[in-house]
Amino acid sequence: MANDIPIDLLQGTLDMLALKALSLGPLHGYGVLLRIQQISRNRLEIQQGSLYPALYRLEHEGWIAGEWGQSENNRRARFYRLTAAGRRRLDAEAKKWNQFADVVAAILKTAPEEL
Amino acid sequence: MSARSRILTWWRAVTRSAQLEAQVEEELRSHIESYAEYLMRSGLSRHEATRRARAELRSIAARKENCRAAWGTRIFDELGGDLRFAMRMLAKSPGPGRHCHRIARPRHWCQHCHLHRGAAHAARPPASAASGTATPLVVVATNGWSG
Repeated sequence: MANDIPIDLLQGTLDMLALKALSLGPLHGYGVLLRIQQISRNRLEIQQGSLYPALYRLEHEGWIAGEWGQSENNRRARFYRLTAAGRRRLDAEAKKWNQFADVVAAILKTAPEEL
Repeated sequence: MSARSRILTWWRAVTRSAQLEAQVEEELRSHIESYAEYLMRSGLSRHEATRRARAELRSIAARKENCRAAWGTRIFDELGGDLRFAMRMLAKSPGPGRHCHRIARPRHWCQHCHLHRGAAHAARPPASAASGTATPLVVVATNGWSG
């Protein structure tokens, strides 16, 4: 089925998805990846290599904060959590994204007789 | 606040670069191990799982560079790289009194000496080598330009 084909992530959306994943609770880097895949039911193809630069970028902007802790496998891991600024950013990004998606959907649904 | 956070991460990346890089490396290794464990649960051997996990995350060195770029330290990395390049070129330079015979044009990048030669140098005849006078050589801190 066409719905099962993994979709490549659109440029610039990984930051927003990482913020969303972290809004559900603190996670280490690999956990962020797993959570996005879990929520998308494995329909999104995320380049693992682009995850960490995105996390460091978000941390640099102050939207997430990282601290070292112990993972579920007793491995030392860096856990990230969403900051208040990050939550505001996520809200703004989600609003912008929904508006964009609405506009694109409306354009795609347009029939010739509507013009 | 965003500006405070930017300054903090940037300052940490500049002043505690080695420590931060070690942390990034540890974090990436932890990711590789976790992903390899997941692949092993799906039936791959440890060797194959680790190989595939590494390949998917690609080169750790390249990732580290991207991560540093995310902290806004690219300009310092480039400056550091240019300075190291300049020092290497200085170490390789012909030294005072010796001249490159391959170029004569002023302000020209010499592929042989790997140095940017000033007008003063070009104006002097190579024979000045015999007198032992030092020739001013300008090392250009960029590797993107060549004549």
